[in-house]
Amino acid sequence: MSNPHSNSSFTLEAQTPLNGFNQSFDGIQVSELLGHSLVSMAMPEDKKSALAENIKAAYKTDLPEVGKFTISAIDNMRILGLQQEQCFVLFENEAVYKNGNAVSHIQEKTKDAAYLSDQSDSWAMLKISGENAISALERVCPINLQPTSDPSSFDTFSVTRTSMEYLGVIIMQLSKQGAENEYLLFSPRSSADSFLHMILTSIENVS
Amino acid sequence: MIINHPLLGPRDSSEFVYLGDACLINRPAWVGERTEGEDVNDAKTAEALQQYHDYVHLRQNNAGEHKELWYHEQGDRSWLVVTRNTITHEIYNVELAKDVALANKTARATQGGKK
Repeated sequence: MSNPHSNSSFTLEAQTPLNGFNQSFDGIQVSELLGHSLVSMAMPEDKKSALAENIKAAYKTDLPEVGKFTISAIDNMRILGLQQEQCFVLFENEAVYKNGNAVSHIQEKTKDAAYLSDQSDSWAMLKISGENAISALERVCPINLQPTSDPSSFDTFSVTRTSMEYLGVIIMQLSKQGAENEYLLFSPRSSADSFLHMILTSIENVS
Repeated sequence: MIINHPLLGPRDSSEFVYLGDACLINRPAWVGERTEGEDVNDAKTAEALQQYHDYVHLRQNNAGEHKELWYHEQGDRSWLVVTRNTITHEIYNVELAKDVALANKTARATQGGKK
């Protein structure tokens, strides 16, 4: 007897954490960041210089300081300096949901000078941009997003973990040029809907 | 309360977890770390036990300047030594606990070398 499931007409497709959310508000655009991989890169103290050299050779960019990110045109990659011993690597990779090859992709470049783990499926990633984006964010984000003369102020190429309401969030600023005012937010996938609700509620309060 | 993080700048204290007295950095050698064959009932052992007892159980409760350990859990996951006035909450100084521990280790090594 043949297996009734073997010729199933159903196919399974992976869903993104926010189901491709994309909406515009008054001066604010919110969309889920799709087609990207996120890899955690833990850096042993004794291999940091080797890792920096390998990254430089492969991506023509440096390891970032804590609180900053560096960019490379290769794979449109960004290295996020989240803490002294760990970076996240964000890069464009359309194949991530099909092949799950995010770690091997980076491992070729780092040559075993770091401990890697694929985080692509673990985070909800949201892009928020527009001239009013900062107004919505400053109601929930304890980081001072306004430009200041302080060298430690949060500005372009800045990234950090923080908490918004009760949720852990990574915020990075892509640009701060008028209407292109653009931020990326990452929050754990397990609370993706609460994360989106928090952002949308804040937008409603300033719209 | 704003904590001026040495790497990240001013951050809200809600991002941090408070641990307590920064004397916890200076963990004394445990009696079990004695070399093999040593008599574990001698005066040296008793002194080590007393030091460990004090380390675990005794704390200063300063009204005024106090060095404390804070953990930046919702941030860069670093441990900080915050020098704070417990009456006014004024913060005088913030250092990475890693730097403080290394400085203490160097100071102990220098003291040991002079003996």
